[in-house]
Amino acid sequence: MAFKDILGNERQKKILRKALQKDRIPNSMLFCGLEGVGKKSLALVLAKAMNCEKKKDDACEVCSPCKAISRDNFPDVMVISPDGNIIKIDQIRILKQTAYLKPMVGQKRVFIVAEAEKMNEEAANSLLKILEEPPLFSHIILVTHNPDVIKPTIKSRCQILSFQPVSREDIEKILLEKGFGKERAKIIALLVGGNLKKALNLEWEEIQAKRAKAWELFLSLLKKEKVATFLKNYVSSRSLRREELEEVLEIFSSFCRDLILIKEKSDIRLLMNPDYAEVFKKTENFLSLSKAMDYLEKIDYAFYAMQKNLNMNLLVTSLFSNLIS
Amino acid sequence: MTYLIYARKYRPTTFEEMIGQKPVVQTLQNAIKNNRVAQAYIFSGMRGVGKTTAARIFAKALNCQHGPTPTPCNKCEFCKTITEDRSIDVLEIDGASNRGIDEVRSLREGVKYKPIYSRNKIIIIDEVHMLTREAFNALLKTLEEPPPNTIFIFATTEFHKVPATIISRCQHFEFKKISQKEIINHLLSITKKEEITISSFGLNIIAEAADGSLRDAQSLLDQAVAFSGENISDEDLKEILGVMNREILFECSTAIIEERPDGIFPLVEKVINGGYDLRFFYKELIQHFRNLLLIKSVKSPLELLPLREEDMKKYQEEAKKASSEEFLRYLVVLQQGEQGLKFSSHPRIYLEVLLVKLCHFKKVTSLKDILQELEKMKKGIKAPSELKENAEISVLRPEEEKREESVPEIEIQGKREREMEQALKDPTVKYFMDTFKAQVLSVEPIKRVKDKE
Ligand SMILES: Nc1ncnc2c1ncn2[C@@H]1O[C@H](COP(=O)(O)OP(=O)(O)O)[C@@H](O)[C@H]1O
Ligand SMILES: [Mg+2]
Ligand SMILES: [Zn+2]
Ligand SMILES: [Zn+2]
Repeated sequence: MAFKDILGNERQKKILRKALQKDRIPNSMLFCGLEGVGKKSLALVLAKAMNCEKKKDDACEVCSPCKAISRDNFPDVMVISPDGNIIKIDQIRILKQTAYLKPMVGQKRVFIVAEAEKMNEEAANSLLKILEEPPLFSHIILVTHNPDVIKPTIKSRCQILSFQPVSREDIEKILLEKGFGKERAKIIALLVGGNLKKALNLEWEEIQAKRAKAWELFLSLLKKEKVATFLKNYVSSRSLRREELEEVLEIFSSFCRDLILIKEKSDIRLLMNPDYAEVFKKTENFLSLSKAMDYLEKIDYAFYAMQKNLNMNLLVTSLFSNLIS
Repeated sequence: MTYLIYARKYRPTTFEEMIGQKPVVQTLQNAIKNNRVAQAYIFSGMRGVGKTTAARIFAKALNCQHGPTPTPCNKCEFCKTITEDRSIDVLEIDGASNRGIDEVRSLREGVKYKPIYSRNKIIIIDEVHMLTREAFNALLKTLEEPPPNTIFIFATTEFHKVPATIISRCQHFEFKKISQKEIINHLLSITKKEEITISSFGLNIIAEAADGSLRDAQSLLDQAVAFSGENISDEDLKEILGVMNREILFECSTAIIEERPDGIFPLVEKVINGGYDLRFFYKELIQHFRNLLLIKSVKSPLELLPLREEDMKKYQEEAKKASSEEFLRYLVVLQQGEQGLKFSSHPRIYLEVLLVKLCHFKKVTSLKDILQELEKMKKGIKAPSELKENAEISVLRPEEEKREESVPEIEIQGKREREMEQALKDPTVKYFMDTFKAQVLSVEPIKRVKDKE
């Protein structure tokens, strides 16, 4: 990958290339922004460009450092990711020990800390000194989609580069270029909410099927049909998976939201499920505005409860009896 | 040429260069002059206000060839080795990385012996709050039997995590926030040296965002240069700092006041496309409504709100569109929603729907009416609600289901109450609640009134 292969985020690319030209890449950086907009990829491209033998403002992709970095086989570029769900002090310790040593083969050492928000208190604190005064041949790039939880003492020591969500138009354009059909490109662009990675990896047939099933369910809840069977299936089945419920509820939320949008006669182009516009219009009257809002509140609560690991069966029962009552 | 960020490039090397912190600097300098240097010091204060810097300068002052002196020369071998962090007798230890008992033990071994080359052994432990309890205990022993010619300097952003036993053996200096004015002057001097142009508005908003931390201000300036080159434009700066565009805020309040829920969806889309964090937007929106409420209710709001004249005019226009009571109600509901938004799994939907709800608020009854309704309800009289339910809903209503009073339902209730409490803590809200003799109870139950119909 080179700069040209990173889609969107023109401004961020421009800033970094300018810094490369002037040889002014900061040693400590924080990349933040929505998931799936190319933060980590861009960090890797930067690592390549800094070590590329052509010494230009991009990665040439043919020299041996460029190739080695692409293969994740370059001793001076290191990616640190959570071990389980946290980044621990031992991982940062290795980073620090290495960072004080001159690069082995390349020109700069680059450390990319992915999901930096997952550093625990000890790990984050032990990074402070090196972030403040790293050796000039070492660069640390923290990457996060949740800058809110990064400690101010860390932010204070970093140059922050914020990434914007890839706009709907851009995603649509990129998908069209990739050969997606017009309608499909449009719908996917709306479905993913600025997450380009998700847009590119989406399993279209699968997501269509899931939405269709969720809609059927939603409708029967609205009409109070087949509720009993449904509940029986969901509640009694021992195999009820949390992710499955999460997915269904997530789609439900988008239905409710879209119904509200339609009821309020807002801009149809902003629907999250644009291909359901006609269906929504037909069913609009089954759900009052306040009821739709009520649903959303209950669904939100269910998510909250899931995080708290409440008993799943109990949760489903109470959620759905709440929804239909 | 090596490239250093401003925070590193402009780290003071003398006490005179230090900005703010006058009492600390003076006391340290006097201690040296009067030969009354303490055994151990602890420097506390927020990030980037000069703790580490002061510790290093103090170390030089103590060990400078021409010293001890309140004005270290920075030229002699002793000063230089300290600047380059290779002095054998001055150790700067990262407390967060060397936090265990073993590290402190080996430190104790090290201070048993007299300094090798220099006058004093100086141990700086930065980020000292991260030491483990055992390590602190070991450290305490050392402080109780102080080795000769050894001076300890501890620095921390989290003073409250340092045990009292340690603190009682140290001279404590609290480093204050750097004032807005000092930050601006400092930024000005950097921009002169670096030949950067920036407006005074720009300097002001950087200083504001830095919130008292000089390092934060320097970092922001660095980012601004990376973003827009040597000529920093106000627009770029606003983008870097995420300053909310007031237009969007006004657009939002107008949609709410004029009851145009259809305007909400495009608005939220705009906020997202502008790259703003939704929670950040929400905070700004609360502030926005607070401003409106204030303007509505005090005689000379300019004293309370540092707004530009043209903005003030806009606020005054906007404030005319609703009553104080209504603004209060908006504000209370917004406050209540803040926690929910924070934890919502779908912040976008949560925000959209909350704002749509607000658009319907006027239609709903006024505070007084709600109180009356509640009163009537208590007496068992059916209250008329102005919000009409869709006819269909009654058709859809299930035949008397027995409703399980499940645990989660109760928890929702608890959550709401917590949110309410949260809202009530806000001084502005509190003030107006008192003025209007209003109760929060009367804001939320609109829905409940209907539920019980
Ligand atoms: N009081 C100050 N006077 C001058 N520069 C300061 C001051 N405080 C912070 N700085 C700037 O911020 C950087 C970090 O300061 P430092 O002393 O390390 O802060 P901390 O209080 O976090 O230890 C310094 O390199 C310097 O550029
Ligand atoms: Mg410090
Ligand atoms: Zn190359
Ligand atoms: Zn000297």
